[in-house]
Amino acid sequence: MARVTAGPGGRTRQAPGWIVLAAVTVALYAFWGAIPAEFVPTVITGMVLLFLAYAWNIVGGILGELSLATMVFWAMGAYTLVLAMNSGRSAWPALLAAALVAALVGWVIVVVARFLGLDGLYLAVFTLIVFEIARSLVTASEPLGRNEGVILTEFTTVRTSVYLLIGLVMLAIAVNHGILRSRIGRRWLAIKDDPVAAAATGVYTGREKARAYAISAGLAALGGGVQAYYLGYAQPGTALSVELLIAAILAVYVGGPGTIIGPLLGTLLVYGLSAMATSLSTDVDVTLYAQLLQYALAFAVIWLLSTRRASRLGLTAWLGALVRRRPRAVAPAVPGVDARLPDVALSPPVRAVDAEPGPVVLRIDGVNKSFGRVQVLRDITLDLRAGEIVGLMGPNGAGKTTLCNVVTGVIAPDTGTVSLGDKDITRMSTPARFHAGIARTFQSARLFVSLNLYDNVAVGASGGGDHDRVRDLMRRYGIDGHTSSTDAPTFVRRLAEVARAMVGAKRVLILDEPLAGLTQQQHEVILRGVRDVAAGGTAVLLVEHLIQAVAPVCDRLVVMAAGAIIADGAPQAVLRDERVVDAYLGTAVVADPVSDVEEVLGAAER
Amino acid sequence: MRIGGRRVRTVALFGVLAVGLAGCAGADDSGGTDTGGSGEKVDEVVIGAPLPLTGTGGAFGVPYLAALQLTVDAINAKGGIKSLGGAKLRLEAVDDASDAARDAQLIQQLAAKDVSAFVGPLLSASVISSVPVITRSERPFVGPNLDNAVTDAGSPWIFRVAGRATTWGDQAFDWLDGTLKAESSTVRKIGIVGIDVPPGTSTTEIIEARAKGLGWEVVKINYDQRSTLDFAPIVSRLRDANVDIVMGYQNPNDAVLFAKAVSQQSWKPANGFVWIAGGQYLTSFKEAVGPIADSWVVESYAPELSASKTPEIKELAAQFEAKVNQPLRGLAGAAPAIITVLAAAIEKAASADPTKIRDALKDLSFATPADAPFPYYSMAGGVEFDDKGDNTRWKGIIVQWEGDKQISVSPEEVTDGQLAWPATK
Amino acid sequence: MLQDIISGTTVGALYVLLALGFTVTLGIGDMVNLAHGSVVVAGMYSVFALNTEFGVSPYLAVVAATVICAALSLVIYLLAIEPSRRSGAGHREQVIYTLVITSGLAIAFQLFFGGDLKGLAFTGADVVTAGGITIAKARLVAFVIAVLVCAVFVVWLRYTTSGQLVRMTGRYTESAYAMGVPVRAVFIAVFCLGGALGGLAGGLLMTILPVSPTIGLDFLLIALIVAIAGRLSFVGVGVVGLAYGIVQAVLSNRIGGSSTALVVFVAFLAVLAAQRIFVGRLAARSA
Repeated sequence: MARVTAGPGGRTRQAPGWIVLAAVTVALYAFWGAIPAEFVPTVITGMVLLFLAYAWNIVGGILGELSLATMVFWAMGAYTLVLAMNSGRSAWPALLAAALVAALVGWVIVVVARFLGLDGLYLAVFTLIVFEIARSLVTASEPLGRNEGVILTEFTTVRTSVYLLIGLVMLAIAVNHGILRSRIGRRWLAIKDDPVAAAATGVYTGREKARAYAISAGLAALGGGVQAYYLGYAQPGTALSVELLIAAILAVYVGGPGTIIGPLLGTLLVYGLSAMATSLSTDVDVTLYAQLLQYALAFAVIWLLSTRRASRLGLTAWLGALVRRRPRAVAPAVPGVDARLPDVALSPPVRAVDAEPGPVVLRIDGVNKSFGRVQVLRDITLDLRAGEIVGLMGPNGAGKTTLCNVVTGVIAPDTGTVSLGDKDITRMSTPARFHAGIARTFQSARLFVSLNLYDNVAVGASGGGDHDRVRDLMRRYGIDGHTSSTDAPTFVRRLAEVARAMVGAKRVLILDEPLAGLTQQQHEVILRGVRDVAAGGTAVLLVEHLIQAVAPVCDRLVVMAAGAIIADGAPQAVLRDERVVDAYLGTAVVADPVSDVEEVLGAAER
Repeated sequence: MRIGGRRVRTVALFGVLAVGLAGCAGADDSGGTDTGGSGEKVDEVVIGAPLPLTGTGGAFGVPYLAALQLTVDAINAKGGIKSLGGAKLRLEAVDDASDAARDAQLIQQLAAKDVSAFVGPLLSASVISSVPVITRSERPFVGPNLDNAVTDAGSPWIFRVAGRATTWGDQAFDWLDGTLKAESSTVRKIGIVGIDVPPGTSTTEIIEARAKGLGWEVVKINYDQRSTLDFAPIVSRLRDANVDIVMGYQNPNDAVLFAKAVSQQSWKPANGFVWIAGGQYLTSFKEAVGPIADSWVVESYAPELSASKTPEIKELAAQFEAKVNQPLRGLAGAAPAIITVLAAAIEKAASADPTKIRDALKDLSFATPADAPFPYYSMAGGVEFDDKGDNTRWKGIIVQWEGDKQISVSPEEVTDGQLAWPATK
Repeated sequence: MLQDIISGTTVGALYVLLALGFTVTLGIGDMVNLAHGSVVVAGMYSVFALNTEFGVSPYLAVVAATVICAALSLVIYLLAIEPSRRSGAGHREQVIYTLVITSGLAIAFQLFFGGDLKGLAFTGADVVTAGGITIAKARLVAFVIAVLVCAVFVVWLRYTTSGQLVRMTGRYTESAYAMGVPVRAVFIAVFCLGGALGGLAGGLLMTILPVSPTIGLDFLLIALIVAIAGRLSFVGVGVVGLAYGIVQAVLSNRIGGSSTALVVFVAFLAVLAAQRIFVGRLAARSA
């Protein structure tokens, strides 16, 4: 699990990381001269690979996008440096400028990819084609020396190259570290794990992707420049080498994508063998066998580790798991926490059952939606008022989830409007709606596997005040004793999801079947939490099948069938409504409709 | 956490400053190590030879290395470097698998092992990209490469025994001009075919310039050797354009494919084919292509050395043929000349110190092969290097295929056969 | 110009055959095999080795190459595809695994066959001339075989029971399980068929072009471009594949290889954009 921020007690835990980095940097600069001369070229090549691995980790490991375009930026740096030096201009400002331009190009790539609606495999192919376009541009270009490239007229020294390279590698590690320790890293990991849930939790995926690509691109350009400086030329064979990129990608995956030591471990494994071989023997066959062996080894590592449940984090996670299995000092139990049934310290419901509902917070007006020939929502009109708990029911396929998606902005309606207070938000993006106060949970608790529980809840947090709110929420729901998001029991994960939504849900909270798979006792807890939320002035839309559990809590029940709302009113009235009985309760399921309804209502009134 | 972003930026700024400072501090101390060559009593002088023994350049590299080694053995047998008390020459040959990136590594590794000079890499592209690292290692390189860019970089450590591509083209054209007049042939249109990378680019450029200078119409085709595998369209274009003669530069594989396409279309330009270096002088080329290439003319590095008038070279050629099963000529035929030049410089410098050897190379001068300090100068003309490292006394050899034999038709001192014109059957 | 077009069509048909294997694997089985290019190259080397080492006649060697590549695909499936299908991580893992496999195969080819270009000796002077156009016989044969195989394959997939069963299993996998269809066997069969088609394309390519260890990536690019621009449909793949071959042949003699590649790639992006605007997102399973 990526240790993004350290949760409660955060900042003090970050200092050691930076200190270690600084110490390593100093050590490298001081002692690099101890490397024997014949190993220096091998070490330099390894450092170049390491740098590329860290640069790619930003987009491919943390953000999780398979970008194959990184060498485009690498080449931009390489050629800019050589051409600048050859024309007598100062190289380093030129290289920095190239890095900025590369960042811009990275941003453009994200924009184009989003326009083309690409992700996954198709994004990888798109970036590969962009790379090939760059390669054919360069090899067709006379001023860029075509296949032979451009040679530096000035002859460079190894020492300067090594200094630069050390600085770059440490910079790349520092950038990775900084990202992983920050809010940004949390958001990017969320995007990697579940882009839809991330958007619903207020993460502007487009903006964040652009940032990631831009940073990675800028770094890559710097790397290309320094490599060209060392080699003394910029050539398609080295500056636009897809083999180098694949090796870096492999290193990241073997070591653990999205972690801080992953790329280092991976590079050691992916490069170490062949490096040893080239240093010890100049025989070509030996080198090739070593390379083959190391690919096989790396492949085996990924393969073995990926058969473990949800372990997508390569060596780092495996080593981490090994470490954790050792008996540790038993963590002191947080008082009052029962893993099965958290002691939810909630205030009792303050609002009397028949108190006046607040002003309208959310208005859905005349919404229609069709997918192809199937009309999923027919002329939906619905109001939610502040402090109200509205139950949304209906058979499967009635359109409940679609309606939730329309409210949260995942789907745009064909006709009709959605308004939050006075504002028409029909065209507002999902993340924006989160920040405007609309949040939701999902049918199966979609937590981000790469983040611990605290960070999961905190994904939507945007400022200092919010962090107190996060801690407060976790305490109130009794889940602040848990750290892992994947090992926690379902109940805790469900509560965490609610807490995550509550970070942003100041005005509307949508709960999509929150009771599924929980015991009756756990239902109580969840529903107490729901009442607490409503007491705070939030409108709650509770989508549920379990009428008995839900009806007592709701101020209103809305029933949907076949895409339309067929009933909307007080629970007693709605449950007695014939159309509801027909559509939902059915005649086969309930032997005596009238008396069973009485029974349910009797339970509700109790 | 909330200042994570700021931390990132601070670190980034620090990193950039560090990188910038390092750049400014760019010292100029050498990356190479010292050679212990200050005294005169040396047992052996080691010559580094990173060569393409496998891969795309293997066809060139293997015979080249064999010829290098035989020459080194011959010199050692005759007493080695006398000014160093009979020190032997030793070749440290390694396979670069035709990979320029590998060359960079090998050169540095060989330099760390204290070689005094380099006779590899061999392929033009590898040499060009190795110029910076050779220069940084501060050891002289002597090679036969013809692409202009090899010496354009202006490194004081690079020495080229054969001419630049421009000179090759010029000399070939001079010969062609004279031959056309002697044979009373006229050319109005020329087809120029070459790979679109060095040395194809510079070679085709000079041919074009000279052709235009003579008022000929030019059809120039530079093709991407990586992606062109069907030469039928190119041959077709030349045939349709009705060119009187075809000149250019092709790699061994392309040369074979092109020749086969010519054969398939049964086409002969009136004045035949004249190639500037390239794969056409290789034995393997003629074997693969057969009679279609009879009477094709090629400007080459060295003539058929088994017919040499110098007994030592003739002996060398016989040994080579016995070992490698092909005649000693072409690029491999340049190898003895390379060793001769290097040995002469070491002898003159009376030292294994690379800098002294480099200085000796700069001062080296002889007018004909017979004047060479060692009797293995297998090319035509003599040796004298200009400031850039180009050999100003080099003369290209014009050869023509006669069945499986290569006869030399120019310059006079190596002519051993009668030119058959038009250079087409 | 006509010569170029004819030349390009013969190569284009082989591109279609090559891309068809990739398309079927992705379109029907939703499996990504970025090692497809290396499988094609394996087919080429198989024919080369069988012909030059063992004297097997070239076309017989092509058949053998097809079988060899099917076997190679089985290995790739077990190593790279099955684990990711089990863990449900989908395309991302398959992309990584097959990228690594393709790199490893390139190294293996270099180890066993050397880094230089290798060609078949028999591609000799056998030509067919008609109306001023010259075509090598080998190209003509390759073209005919490619067209035939593609046709037969498409017909099988579309109109026979077994073919339709395969398509339905890919589209409605859960139902297929429920109906007792040997789903795993079907997916393996699809994957190996894709590889076999690639191997056949490679074998045929060997009869007209030389091979070297690093051209796998070029073939993969061709497969990707043709499959995706063709929207994973048979007609699309056929049209785009032929067009690719023709454009490449016509342009590369006039503006050089790199510029031609540039044109092709930019055109691909333009096609993607046009499709996005006019047709909508590409769904993986539309074959």
